[in-house]
Amino acid sequence: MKRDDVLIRLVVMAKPIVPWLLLGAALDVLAVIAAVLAPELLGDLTQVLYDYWEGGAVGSVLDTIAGSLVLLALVYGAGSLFSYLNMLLMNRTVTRFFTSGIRIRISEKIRFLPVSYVDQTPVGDVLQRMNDDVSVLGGSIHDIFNMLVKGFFQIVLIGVAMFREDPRLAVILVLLTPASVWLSTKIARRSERGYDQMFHTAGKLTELVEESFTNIAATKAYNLEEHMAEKHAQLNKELTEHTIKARFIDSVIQPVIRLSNSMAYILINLAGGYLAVAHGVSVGTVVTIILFSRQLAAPLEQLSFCFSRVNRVRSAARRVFHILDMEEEVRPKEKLDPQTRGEVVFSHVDFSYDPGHPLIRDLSFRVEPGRKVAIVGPTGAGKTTIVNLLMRFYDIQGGTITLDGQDTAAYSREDVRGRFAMVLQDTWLFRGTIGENVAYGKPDATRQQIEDACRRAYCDRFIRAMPDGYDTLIGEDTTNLSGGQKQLLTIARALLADKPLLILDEATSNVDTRTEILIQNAMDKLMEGRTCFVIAHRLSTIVNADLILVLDQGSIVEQGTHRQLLDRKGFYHQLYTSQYAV
Amino acid sequence: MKRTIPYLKPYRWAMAAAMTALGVSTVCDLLLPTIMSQILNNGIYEKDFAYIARCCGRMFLVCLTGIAAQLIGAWWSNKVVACFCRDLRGELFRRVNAMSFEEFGELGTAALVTRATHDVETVSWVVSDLAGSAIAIPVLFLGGVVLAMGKDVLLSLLMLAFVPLILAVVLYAGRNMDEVWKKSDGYMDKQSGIMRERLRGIRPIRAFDAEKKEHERVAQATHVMAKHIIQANVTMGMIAPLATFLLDLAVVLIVYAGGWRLESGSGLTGGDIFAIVQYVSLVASGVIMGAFSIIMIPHAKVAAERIGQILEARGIADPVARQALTLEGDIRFDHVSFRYEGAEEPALRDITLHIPKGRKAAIIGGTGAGKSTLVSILLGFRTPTEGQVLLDGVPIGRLSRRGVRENIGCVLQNAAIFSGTIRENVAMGDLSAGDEAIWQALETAQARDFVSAFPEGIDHPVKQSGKNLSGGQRQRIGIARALLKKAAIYIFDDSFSALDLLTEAKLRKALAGSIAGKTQIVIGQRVASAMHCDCIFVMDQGRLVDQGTHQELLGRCRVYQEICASQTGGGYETR
Repeated sequence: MKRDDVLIRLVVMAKPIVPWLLLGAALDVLAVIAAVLAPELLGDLTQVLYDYWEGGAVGSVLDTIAGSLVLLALVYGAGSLFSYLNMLLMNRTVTRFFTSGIRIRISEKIRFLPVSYVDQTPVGDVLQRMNDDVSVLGGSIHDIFNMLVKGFFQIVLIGVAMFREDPRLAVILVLLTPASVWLSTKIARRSERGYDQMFHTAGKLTELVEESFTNIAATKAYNLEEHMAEKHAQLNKELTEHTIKARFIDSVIQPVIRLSNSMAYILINLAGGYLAVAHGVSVGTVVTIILFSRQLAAPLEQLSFCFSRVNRVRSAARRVFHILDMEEEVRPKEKLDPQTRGEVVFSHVDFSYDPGHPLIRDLSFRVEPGRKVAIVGPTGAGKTTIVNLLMRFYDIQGGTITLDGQDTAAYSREDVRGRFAMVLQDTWLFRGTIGENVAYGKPDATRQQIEDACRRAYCDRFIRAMPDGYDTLIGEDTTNLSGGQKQLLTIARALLADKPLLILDEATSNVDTRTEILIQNAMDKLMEGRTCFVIAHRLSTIVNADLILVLDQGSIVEQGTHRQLLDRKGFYHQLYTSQYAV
Repeated sequence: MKRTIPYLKPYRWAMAAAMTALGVSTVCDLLLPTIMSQILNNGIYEKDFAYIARCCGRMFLVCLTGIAAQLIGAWWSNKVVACFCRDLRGELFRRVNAMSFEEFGELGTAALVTRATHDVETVSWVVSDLAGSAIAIPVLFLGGVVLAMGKDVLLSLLMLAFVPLILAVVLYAGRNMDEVWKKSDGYMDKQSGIMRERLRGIRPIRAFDAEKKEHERVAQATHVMAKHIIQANVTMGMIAPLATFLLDLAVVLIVYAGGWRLESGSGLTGGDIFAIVQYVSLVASGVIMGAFSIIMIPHAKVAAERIGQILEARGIADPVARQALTLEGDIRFDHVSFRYEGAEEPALRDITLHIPKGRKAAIIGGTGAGKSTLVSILLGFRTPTEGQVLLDGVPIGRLSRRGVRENIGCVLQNAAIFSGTIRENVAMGDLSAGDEAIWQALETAQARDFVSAFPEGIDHPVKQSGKNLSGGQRQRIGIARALLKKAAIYIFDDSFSALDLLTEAKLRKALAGSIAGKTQIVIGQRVASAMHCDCIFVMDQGRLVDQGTHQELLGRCRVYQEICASQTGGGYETR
């Protein structure tokens, strides 16, 4: 990526707030005019006082300066007022646009990213980009804008004023300013690299922290606290080194600018002094120019500060754009036939997660409407992959999957998914009440319906035993629910959602068998007349399936009913009988 | 704040060095206007070029010194801040790892992550401010005042009169900032929490077509957060223009008063007035810098409080400091009861059981029967509310918790896979293990086949949470990790649930050989896993309902009979 791309993109991005930016710039300019006017007035005033003092202090000077003083106060007041208004405006538009606006964009973006992105990206990394990187971006951008506008305008204004006073003295300034700006840009470029490394390491550190806090139990059980602390310390050390380096290079900019300012000041003093002594240039002119060159220090320092901030912004913006630039899924809008019979056909499906390792090759099978299909096979055979493909979490690379004769790839993903209810082995609960969690698939469900689903999934009893019943707050870290209870809640969720097709991927692996028997009725009722895909290790769940697909290494090695497969004495038979082997 | 400040202590000298250097550079800044006014008064007005040149030379030296000092100060203060952050992050990480599960659950993972990363950053701003300006502010301020006093006391007092006014403005503006920051940081937690849930639950969310809803939840939290941040920014932003204006007003008054002093002939010179006006800008920058430092404090205070919550966590102190402990593996639960904080029903009720050394025990039971709680107590994650656990006849409370864990190899529910490589994941069982031992453990865990199929073998990269592995593969890596550890007790908490029956049978056979003579506890719901054990403990709703061998239980225990019947379709008796 070209170096300035990111900044240009930020500018392009800001298009919707251009009117506000212009207004802000106008306020900036007004504030700058006030800021330039003030020292001029002050210089005049000092000159009057000086002349008065030199002239032997006769008569009243106060009357002479009173008017100018009031004017000066007004100019000062106006300057402050414009700065204040600008700050208000910028916060309410630019900061809002670039902080919450970009965060919301990232969040929106994730809606349309393929599941594979989420599968492959550590959560900590996304959070780091969304929180810290955006903070850097939003926190600096309006400052930078203000400083740039103010700084340049101020420099130009002061430059012009100086030229009018005395061009000879102004030349010094014209020569020195670009030099110092060039130098600080040089330094800034180096510090940008430092910031890149710093943010990168910070992201990795967040990942590590997120991961080890998630697996805290394993860390404790294996006495790995120290080992993890060492890993953390390693990255932490790296981050510290990068930080010191980036920040130090950064902090060199300001002194460099200062040095060149002081040089300018010294040169102007020398030259001014020389002109005053040898060429009779008026003391007032020299004083004004000296005052101007003092004035110049501030915008130059601001500009340099701005350059150093720009690096951080650029570095952070790159990380943010990385997410925003991700390729989105193609979104077909076509709707499926509203009537679902539930016939599913896989024909010649090819798929792999990683192009180097084909997983599913030429997979074909057909499921009649309303049938119950069990998918069995050793771990890693590709059972869960079939769910991923059915639900279109991943796109197939060859062949077709059809639902009632309609190629699912050509229809809206949401619509395809809307036909399925799904219960997975990994339970997912969000921070909210139990009732909200159960109603997730059907937000308009009444309390009555929720309770009914929970009764059928046999979770009503334990829910009622909890302190706040259905209003009990739960979340992923909830400790007062067992793995099985969490799974029952997701089953209740699927029961309530009531979809024409059903996927159960190890849906009862954490539920005890007795409870499973109890909910079997509910499950049977749920499966009645629906096409079901069941992945399970428990034979009780498999035995009654209309069709058993035996999967091994991505292809179907056997298919048939339980009896047929047992009689064949093949792979399935081996799987089935192994359960009792010592 | 109190909790975080001590972390600066190791750097007090570096900090002193940074402050001194920055102090020197500030003094140089202060000297400049003096020299300038000298150039004006004695040089330009007197038209004495030699004097001007001398002063310029002096000014150049002062400048160089100031800049050198500034660079040194910047180096040290950057270093102090970075090291302070490093120490704090490291300490927070260690503290969280040492937290009790009650403390951990109270804050939640997302909030803890923010505290251990983002909040440290926030506190560091203030520290960096402190290191940068703690000396500069008083030097600028006092220096400005002293120098001005040297010129004219009355004008200086006039200038000073504005300082309390400005401070009052700052304090008034900042009075409610704590609350604002607390709220915005709270929403930051909330936003992160939702995002985390969302990324982890991508499948159910998409299955229910709820991405829009989730996005709206994030957006809403973000909006509220932004509202508070902007409110804080606007309040903070008001201070600079206001303070500047007040000081500008001081300048106007000083010029007026200066004119009056000239008129009344107090010996004040024109150059003096010019100098004092310059000093006002020095004092102003000191005051404004101070104001900004003060206004930063509330946010840092909120962040420091959030960090303090972790630093204050008592953790669970090890009852006995590190001791080398070699257990035989005899486990006894003596009337153990346990109730989770805030739960109405106890999770364990009066459990008494004995697993002699070298036996293979199964704990079987329904959802919420308390099986995993039992493991938590055995591992010392939780402390029994009543009763006690004895290992080799010694109450667990009298043993080093680390020592106990050293003697237990366990596979937890969900296998807990870390990003890295397969090697790193397995080697967590024994960090010193070589390739051969790792392959051996993988072989016993029935993982050799799939691992050797990877081109990189045991160095195959593993993504976060083992996302690029199947559930069964994750479990087997978890099992290999436990086996690599040479322990007296092995616990398999629901560790076979994702394995197909064939693999499980092979695994069982391999385990019988590799960890023969060690105490084994198999927790799960499969009868097939339990039936081969020496003793089966049947649990139901926190109670131990029966114990015995497969045959015994089959004969008398109704709960066990039901479990068996459900899993085998009634066909097991014949085998």
